[in-house]
Amino acid sequence: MEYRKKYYPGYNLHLIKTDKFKMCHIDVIFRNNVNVNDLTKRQFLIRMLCENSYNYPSRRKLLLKLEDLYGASIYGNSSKVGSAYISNISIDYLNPQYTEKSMTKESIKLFFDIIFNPNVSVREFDSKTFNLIKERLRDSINSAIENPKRLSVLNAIGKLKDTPSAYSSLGTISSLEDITPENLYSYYEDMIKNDYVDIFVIGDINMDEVEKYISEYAKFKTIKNHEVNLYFKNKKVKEQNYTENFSAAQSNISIILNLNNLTDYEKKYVANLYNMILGGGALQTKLYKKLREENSLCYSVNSVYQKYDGLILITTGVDANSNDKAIKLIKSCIKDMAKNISDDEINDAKEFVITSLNYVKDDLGRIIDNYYFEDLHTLDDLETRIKTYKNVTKEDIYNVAKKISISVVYTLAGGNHEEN
Amino acid sequence: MKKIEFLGAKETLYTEKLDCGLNIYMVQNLNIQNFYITLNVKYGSIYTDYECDGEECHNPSGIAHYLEHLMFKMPDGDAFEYFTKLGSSANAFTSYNVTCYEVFANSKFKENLEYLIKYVYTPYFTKEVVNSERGIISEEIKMYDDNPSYVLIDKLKQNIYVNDKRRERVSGNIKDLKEITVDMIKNVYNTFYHPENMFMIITGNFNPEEAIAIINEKMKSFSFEPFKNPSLLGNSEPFEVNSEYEESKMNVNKSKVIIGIKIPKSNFKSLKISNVALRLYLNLIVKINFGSTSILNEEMKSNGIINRSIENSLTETDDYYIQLFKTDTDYPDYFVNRVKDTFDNMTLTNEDIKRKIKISLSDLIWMFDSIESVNMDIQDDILMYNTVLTDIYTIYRSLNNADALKIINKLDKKLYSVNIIYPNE
Repeated sequence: MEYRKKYYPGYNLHLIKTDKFKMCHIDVIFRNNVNVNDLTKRQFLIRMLCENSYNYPSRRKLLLKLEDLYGASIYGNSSKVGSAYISNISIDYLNPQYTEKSMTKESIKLFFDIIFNPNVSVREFDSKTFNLIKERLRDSINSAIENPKRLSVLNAIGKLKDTPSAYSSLGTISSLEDITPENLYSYYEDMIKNDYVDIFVIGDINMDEVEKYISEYAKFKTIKNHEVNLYFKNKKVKEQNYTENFSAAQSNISIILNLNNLTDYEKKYVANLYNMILGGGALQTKLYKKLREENSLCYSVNSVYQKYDGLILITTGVDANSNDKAIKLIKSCIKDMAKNISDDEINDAKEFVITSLNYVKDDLGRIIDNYYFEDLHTLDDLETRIKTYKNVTKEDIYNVAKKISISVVYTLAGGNHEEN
Repeated sequence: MKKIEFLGAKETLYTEKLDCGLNIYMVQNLNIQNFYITLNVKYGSIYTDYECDGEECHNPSGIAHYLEHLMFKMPDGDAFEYFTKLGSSANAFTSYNVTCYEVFANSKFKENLEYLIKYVYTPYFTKEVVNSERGIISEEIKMYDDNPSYVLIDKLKQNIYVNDKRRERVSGNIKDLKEITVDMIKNVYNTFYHPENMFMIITGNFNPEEAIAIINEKMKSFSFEPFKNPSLLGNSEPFEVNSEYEESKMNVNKSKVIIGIKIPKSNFKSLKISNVALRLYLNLIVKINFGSTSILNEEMKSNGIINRSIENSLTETDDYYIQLFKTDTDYPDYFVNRVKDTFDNMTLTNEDIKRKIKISLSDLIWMFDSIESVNMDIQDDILMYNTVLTDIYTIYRSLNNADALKIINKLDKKLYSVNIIYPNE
């Protein structure tokens, strides 16, 4: 794998040449400070851009064009990472050695046409497409009720105050109603002009040729010099307990842990191992053993470390009569993390994390993520990471455990289950 | 060891049948580090009733899935623990006609492969482990009860299948779990978990010669009685549906609709088109008329009936094709009528079919970027056709407009079943 980074006035170009994949992939990644009132607008815009374009003004027309390019696909996504947006628009196309030589140029041309020539007339997005995306986004926001686990998580984070962490990256229905074809277009102009832009290309293709086309079609011109910070420091709060009833067979419990004043080393390494041992990643975690194996309480129990928010989120679905027991057991696992970690647990967690780091090299999306966050200095290079993980001690984890407090215990209480 | 080329994709399939009866299928990818191994049993949720050695056995639904959960129990602990120590991810799943044990890793190939064999061929079923797993599976079932999309499909299956065991949930229901005993588990394990009735697929970075040597050596530690070749009991599936329509209410944002179409395979008998080609044709015909590039999708989106493309899928049983269409909409009745009407009047042009063949050929090449997809594709082929379709490229190229139109003309004999979940008020 051969990596090169090129600096252009409006963007950074990252070229990764590798023969691992038959696919070629280009990612344009936008980054800026999050504004919680614009979360929905950001989602709306990314979906709008990927739906169709000025030259291919319906989804069907765009898809037929992509079929001409041997089934290329264009898609986008926007997520909230700590206190920043990271939004990307991507194209996948088959390596030209299996199709036609001109496919690289054709694909790149179409891709940037999608970004720079949206379906707009007189500074307004096309109203038909606008309404379609609006309804689709409304469904995405409202469909949380169809997934009790997701609903429980959203309700739990919603209890956090004055923090971007409290918001779903989809935003809210009320902010959706405020979006118009006109203000969405202004927002588009703003994003193209003011967001930091990184372009990644990966594949077994001639990168000089790729660079030539991209410098021709990628018309990001503005030089940016404002600060975008990914990390958000959530304040320590007193434990809040909530129970809300919901008609469902299971109860879904979400517990939010706050990680207070961690050092850079702890954020990058120790907290991740802490999470692996508690409930993340591998199957034999403290939570899994305690809730599932020893007490047959649940089918799944997990914890997720949200590095940039400084939070750990624990979720499980249990029998409606076992809510209190489950919460008690989860809390006992959290206590255990401060004094009772075995050598096996820490070694298994290290082994698991290091093995996962090796998977990175085989996964197109993760290769890009890796270079991207290394570039932003929130990740060390792979070799350093492996070495540092190996040296984390039990004491390090106990120290982090001391800095962890419970913010929210939320139960979405089910219990209408009739045995059939 | 046999070597066969996947036509059109510059990839090779290695196959070997061991003395114990186990078939091995391998596809190497040396550009990456990872490997993915699956050990598959030709035994799934539909095999509840069978005859073996002149004796009839009847089991509750969900027994194959229950057995899959128990397989990880070892006399000295849990199989997951060992894989965790290797840093690998191990898992398993059960479907209608297969139970699959899988491991994904990027180092210690020998250890991973040996242990996969060891734990699947080490039955350890005690009253205690059987009982302790019951609560866990109950919660798994309830998790699905709370998922409206799952419930939607589940109800449709109960309505569209009359005798076919696909009408039952793979997991069974909570009542079934209570009826499952240690003896039943031991009995189905001894009947079906035999190398003759199993196959292994390895994809990714490994050496095929070495893999065969490891498997051969490891299999020597186990002895097997001759395979008894159980035969399935049950009535054949009639050309009927249990119910043409059902509606219910749940926590949904807007109505969920699924339309199932039961098409007898006998419709196409006179056409003399192979099973494989027929399936490809049906997929292409449906994609052209209902897929994301269809006029129907565009029309219903612009009328505000749907806002995402219609989901479609095709299932094949011994005697039927089951075509499903699924969406979320505020206008379920309109949607149902429009889909039925379109299905009765499907059409395509020569250009449509050429275009979709071109895409399908790209997808074939593309698939080899994912060792999981290749592995699962081989699994599907073995379960459906008992061979790996290395010539699918050629079959695709032989598809043509004239035959597609003939197939469309043979679609008149069919039955519909519709299920709708309306939002709670």
